[in-house]
Amino acid sequence: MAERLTFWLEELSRKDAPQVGQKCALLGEMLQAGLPVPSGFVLSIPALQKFLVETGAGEKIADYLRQLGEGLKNLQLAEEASRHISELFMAGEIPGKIRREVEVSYRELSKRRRVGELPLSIRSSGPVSRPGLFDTYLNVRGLPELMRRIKSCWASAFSPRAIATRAQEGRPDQVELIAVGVQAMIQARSAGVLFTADPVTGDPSVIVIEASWGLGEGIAQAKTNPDRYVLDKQTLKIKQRNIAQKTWEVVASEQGTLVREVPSERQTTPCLSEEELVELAELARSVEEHFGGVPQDIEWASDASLPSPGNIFLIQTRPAVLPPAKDRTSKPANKDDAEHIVDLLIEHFYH
Amino acid sequence: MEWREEWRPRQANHPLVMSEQDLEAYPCWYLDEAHSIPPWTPLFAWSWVQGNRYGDLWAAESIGLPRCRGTDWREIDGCAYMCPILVTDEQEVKERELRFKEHLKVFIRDYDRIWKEVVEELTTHYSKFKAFDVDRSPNFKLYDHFEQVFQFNLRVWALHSWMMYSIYELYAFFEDLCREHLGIDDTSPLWHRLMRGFDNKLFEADRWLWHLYERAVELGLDSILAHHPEEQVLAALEETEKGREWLNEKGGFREFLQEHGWRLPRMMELNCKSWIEDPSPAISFIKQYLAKGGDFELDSRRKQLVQEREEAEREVLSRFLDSERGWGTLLMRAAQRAGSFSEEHTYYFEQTSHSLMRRAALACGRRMAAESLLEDPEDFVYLLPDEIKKNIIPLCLDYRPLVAERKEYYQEYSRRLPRPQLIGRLASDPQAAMRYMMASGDKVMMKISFGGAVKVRPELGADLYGHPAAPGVATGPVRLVLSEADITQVKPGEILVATTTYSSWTPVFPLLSGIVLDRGASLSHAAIVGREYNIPVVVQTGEATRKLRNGQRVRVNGTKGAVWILPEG
Repeated sequence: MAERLTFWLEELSRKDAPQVGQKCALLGEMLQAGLPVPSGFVLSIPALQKFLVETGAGEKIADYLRQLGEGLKNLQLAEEASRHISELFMAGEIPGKIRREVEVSYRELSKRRRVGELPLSIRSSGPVSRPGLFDTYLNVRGLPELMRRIKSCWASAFSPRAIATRAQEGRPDQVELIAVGVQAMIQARSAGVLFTADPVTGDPSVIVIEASWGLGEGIAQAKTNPDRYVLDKQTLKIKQRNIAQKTWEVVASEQGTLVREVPSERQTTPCLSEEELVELAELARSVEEHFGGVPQDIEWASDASLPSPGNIFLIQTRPAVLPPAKDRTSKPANKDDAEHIVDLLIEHFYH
Repeated sequence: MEWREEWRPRQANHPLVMSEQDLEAYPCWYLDEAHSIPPWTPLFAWSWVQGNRYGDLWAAESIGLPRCRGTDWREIDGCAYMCPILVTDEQEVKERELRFKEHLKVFIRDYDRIWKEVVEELTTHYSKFKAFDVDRSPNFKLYDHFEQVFQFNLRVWALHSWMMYSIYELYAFFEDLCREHLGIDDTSPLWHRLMRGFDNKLFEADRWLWHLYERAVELGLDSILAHHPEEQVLAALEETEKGREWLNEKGGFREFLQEHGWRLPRMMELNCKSWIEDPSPAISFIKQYLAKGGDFELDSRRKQLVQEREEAEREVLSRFLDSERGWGTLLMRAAQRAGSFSEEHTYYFEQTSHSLMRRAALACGRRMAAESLLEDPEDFVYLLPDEIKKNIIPLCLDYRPLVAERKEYYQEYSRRLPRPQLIGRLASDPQAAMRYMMASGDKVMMKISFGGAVKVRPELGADLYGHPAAPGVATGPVRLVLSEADITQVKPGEILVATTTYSSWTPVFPLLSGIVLDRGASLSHAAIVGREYNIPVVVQTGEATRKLRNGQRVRVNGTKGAVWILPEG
């Protein structure tokens, strides 16, 4: 795969993470496992490298950041730097080879969906998962806009937060390269996140699902209170159901996305049916199983244009960050001494 | 990368010899200094890198060591270099953690059953191999036997690493827990008291040897033992009725050899006779006991050590909260096993397996020598297994020129010392190299080969500083032991000074009053045995063998980790 710079998601598995980032590599692996993931392709990290080298932007950025150095810990300066770098990216011309590969892939993707210009979601995919640090662009349509957003996505590796974080870590001038995932946009009726373990207690016997109306951005940006369901992982029985008042939703618009008020009659309606809940939980279980039983943190969406069942898509998965065993004295009642020792040991040496 | 001249092997006689590509592909290679100085014969070097590589990879993978796929191994001119293989994918780390948890849980709960099964598997194979007649079997049978013994050695290393990774993980965790939460450092006397007062298979050998010495005195054989050189003692004993009784009675010398004679004196190096072939080292120990006299101190001391340990256990457990004491006790017991296991595993694993490998290969050497294809049967150590197998059937290749060349090569490289400790990209940045090693989370490497940083305490005004490995203070003359031949020179009351010690040296410990080593850590052989014999041990001094001279009087403080050179007279 040395000469190509873009890859179809289904070609990828986790060993490709250094080339295409964690997010895309794991999406590819889920596709290969037969799980419903929106189809798409990825611009590999070497594509960004090529851009940086051929436009000369790479050297300029590194020099610029080196000059500012430690000062970048200051968020104001980091913001200014981020703006400057973003301009460098936007001014640069994407090399012809990359443009051609993207164009062919986009055309093919649209053809698969029998649409002229398929609406896309564009997400950054770094070699290490850094939730919330890089940007996502939704409902992107048409080649020129796609090219522009690819550049914005690349530039998001230099968001003020990313720059400040790296300066804090003592490597201000380091260029952190990312890949860019381009997928068919799911026009979501509802979306959310789920954990295949309790994110607060770490209890692995449950699946916790959060759901709100519209695109997944609602929960991720914490703009609205989601519905919350707790299911027994084994029986898939609903153990707990909290229906929240969901005031805002994020929906697709001509200019990308917009936030709007949820019509009052839908505000307190559950945004997943019981069948959808069970389907989602079953998928979550398969993902966890595929990754060797490691609890997963999954983003999902239900497609408004499709009937249930079969309308649930998985947007992302990563190993769940579960709470550390804070109090070494408290041994859960359901664990014996050996189990408890091993939990503490793993916590001590490996987390 | 710059490929330095001192990194380049002079010969590449098998694929696990370091290549330029290996240097490019791995960040750093670490010298296995605890084992491979002095450098090994070609056959043993091949077997070590081959066996450890397979064993480490197999074990790390089958128990799911979270951040390490095992260790890779290469040879450079008779020395082994290793490099941990890291797991970098976080999703995979998590998956391995789950498997590792499952494994450790079972390991803690069912340790006794597991260890019994491992020992059974090993001894079943060994008995079959021992029963094979290497001298009278037809060539093909010998070829088959050779193949099986060498093949089984891979399994031996696999089980070896499997046990080591598991036990050391628990030991290291308990050690950290004690240091961070209970205020007990692994250099503190309380820690040492907690970790001693245990019997193991090797002490059985010491005890038996001591009994043989006492029995010899009882039978009036002491003058034969005292006045004949080691190699003539057995023949002299055969000539007297009492002597034959001592050799052949139940619990006598021959039975001892069958049980404990499958050991090689120079670590596991294949170019030295096992005690079964040449019992002189055992006789020499008995002669040394004769010179010392008195009681077998291990047993009289043991009672006191057990008592002290039980007190230490109560003290340590009292520092746990009531609600923690259940699992605290279980973890402490698991950690305490690490010491005895470290010691006695060599009996079940490496020593017997390598004695059998030597026996099989030597038999092949004898057949080749009989056909004048080798000068000397012992020259088999200059051949690799494929070369040996190729020439058992048919016996037709004149290996004398090849052996002459290899011998010259071996003699050149075995004198080429010291060897670089780090080679590869990170060689010029030892701190980065250490960080890479630490990232593997491999506790075996950390506890045996690379101890922590030594605390230098200038206020003590000592001549050497090291890691306190067994408590107590002793004064005595230095006995430098630079090779196994020097072991027979040890006199009662001396302080043994060496680079490192091997399990086959254990019988000399009752004679010693202290030990000082260049290398080592808290689970090194000398540390464990020293604690049991209640003699002070200081390890990791870095330069003891260079700084101290034979006969020089020194004071060793194993509690503080310091050594003083005393004025003459």
